[in-house]
Amino acid sequence: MTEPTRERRRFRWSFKELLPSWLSKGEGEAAWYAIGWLIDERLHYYYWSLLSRYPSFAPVDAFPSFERDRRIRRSIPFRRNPSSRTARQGYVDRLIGWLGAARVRGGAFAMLEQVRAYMGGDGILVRFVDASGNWYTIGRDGTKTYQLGTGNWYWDGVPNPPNWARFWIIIYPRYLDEEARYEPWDQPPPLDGSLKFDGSWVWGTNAPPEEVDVLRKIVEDEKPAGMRQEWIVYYFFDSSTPDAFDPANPAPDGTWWSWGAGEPWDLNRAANAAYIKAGPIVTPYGDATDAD
Amino acid sequence: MSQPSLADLFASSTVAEAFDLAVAVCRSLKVPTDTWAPGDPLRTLLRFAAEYLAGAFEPIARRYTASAFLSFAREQAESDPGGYPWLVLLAYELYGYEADEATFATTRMKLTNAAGGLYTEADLAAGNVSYQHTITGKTYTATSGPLDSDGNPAPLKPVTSAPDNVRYQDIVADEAGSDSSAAAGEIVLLTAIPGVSATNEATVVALDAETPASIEEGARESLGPLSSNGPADAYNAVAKDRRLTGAPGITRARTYTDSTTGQARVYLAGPSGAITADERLRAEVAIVEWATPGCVTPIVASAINRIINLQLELWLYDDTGLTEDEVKTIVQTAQLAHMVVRPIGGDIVDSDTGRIYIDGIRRATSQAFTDRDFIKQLVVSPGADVALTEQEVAVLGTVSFVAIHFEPRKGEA
Repeated sequence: MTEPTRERRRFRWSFKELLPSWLSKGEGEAAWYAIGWLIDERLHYYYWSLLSRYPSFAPVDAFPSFERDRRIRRSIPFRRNPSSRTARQGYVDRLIGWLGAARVRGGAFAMLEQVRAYMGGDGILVRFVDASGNWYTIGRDGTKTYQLGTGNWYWDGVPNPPNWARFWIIIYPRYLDEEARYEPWDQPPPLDGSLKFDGSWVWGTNAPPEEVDVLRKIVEDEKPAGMRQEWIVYYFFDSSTPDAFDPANPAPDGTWWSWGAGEPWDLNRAANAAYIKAGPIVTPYGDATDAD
Repeated sequence: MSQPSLADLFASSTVAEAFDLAVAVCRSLKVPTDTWAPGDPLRTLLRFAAEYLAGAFEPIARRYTASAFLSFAREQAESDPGGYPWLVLLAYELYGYEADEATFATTRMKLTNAAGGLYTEADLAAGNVSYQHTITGKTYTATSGPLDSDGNPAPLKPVTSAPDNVRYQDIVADEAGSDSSAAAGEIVLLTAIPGVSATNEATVVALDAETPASIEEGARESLGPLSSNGPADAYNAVAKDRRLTGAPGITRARTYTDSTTGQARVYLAGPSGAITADERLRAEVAIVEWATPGCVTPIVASAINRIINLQLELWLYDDTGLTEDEVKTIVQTAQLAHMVVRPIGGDIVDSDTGRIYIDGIRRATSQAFTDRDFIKQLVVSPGADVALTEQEVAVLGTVSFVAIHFEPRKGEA
């Protein structure tokens, strides 16, 4: 976006061209220089005041207000590095498209668009699946695909019907081969004797809790009323094992409402994922609980 | 000069700061500013420039900058009456949200002639007769001449011509806002008309202009109905939109959205809490038409009142100039303002049950006084945060005081 033209003349210098010499010399020169200085300074502020309402030219500290007013969340890369030109431009583009985004809120792809953009956009794969097995996917390259009415999603044994209005979000992070790590959130700290839970990460990933909270809020804001967001799965998929959330053959078998059971401990869920509670849990016993 | 931050743009300089800056620039140019006498032409010129730039342009620039952002525009409107129209403009022009204006109280007065005078339509013409509230002193002006019981123009006849010695007259308040509201019987004639008395038989209600906070919230929620997919804020926005519901008394709405069976539970309330059955029905009709997608069942219900009685103990300095009754009125007003904007179901922190928090009650009282005057308060009752069910709405009950202490400023000059 080209910056609008503005008055380049500086009044603290140009007053001499505008005033007779008897008024612009001696003490008059000092006075007009001082006044010109005031005018130049104010014009500079007024110019940026005019532009501050446009995301393309707004100062960085205006973006939290844009986020609140236009209901478009800043991406994790932009939050972490507000001076990043790429991250900023990506967010500016989304802000400019705010009305279009508002018109489709409540739709599965609309939600996935916002979730994916928040996580960093390109290279992130996101899926939405509901209790009826309707699958919506935005691939790592942004391609949208869907499979309807598969009936193959069987998370926790809660009967459908009547509990049809439930959905899950699955996020496949970007994998950086050379650095052997995932973005924006990596795998959790190693479970050795030095591990301490200091509140800077959440179980299953090294994600900062405040970033997880924003993700939850996006899902809450973007979903239609009358549906429950169940879990957000952050899946460290590396293609060396079967895809547990492949729409053609998903792994959940009705026992995934808990991590595992039995003695010795027998895992119910895929181990290489973080499971983020998105809403209250409904167990097969009909209890609403906040427990994992 | 680099691009200023938004904070810099709001931190505008005062006239004095601009003048000091200009003087400093002169001093840097070796102009002997210390010898300026009052009225010195150079000093006057700088003073004029500072007044012009910082005094005249600055507030406009600041309001303009703030008017791009709802939260800043709201802050401006709350702190500066000149900022209110900018917030209204932003809400309407960008979000299509129409803020409620203050309304003028109107009613029909009943005039009774107990003497022998005859008063024609011209004698009691619109604009010729004034009325007054017996308690507040607010005034009202006639907008019609004398009318018969069917609303047709008719002279006010002597008592001997009963029943034609009773006529009616429409009036409107001279000032907009709720201060001109009146209970039945509280408005009387101000213009002296020998032998004639007047009274309002019905309650007269006028509304204040919408608060800045309410405009901000309404504008943001107006994005909800843009989508036909039924996000939660669509239900809230439609329920509070009097143009869609025809029910201006609905000022609060909360939608609980986490049903597993496709139900959206919408609870509604007005300034005084629960709404009427008619208002609920009107909201339901609008929600079905404007917010609900197929397959979802909206369950629209009025909130249930939860009366919160307060008992406070208050300490103020004794030079506030306020009487005990005035302090009570101030606190009552502040607590009412606090309570009428609490959300249905209370303030929810994380996944906890919604509550009315003691901290909020304390804040409402303390903010009603200046920092200089206020010392401390004790909230005797409620003794703890009040938990609400999801359908309950907090309604202020009685506000009583264990004591109001006026403390001297010991040792202060």
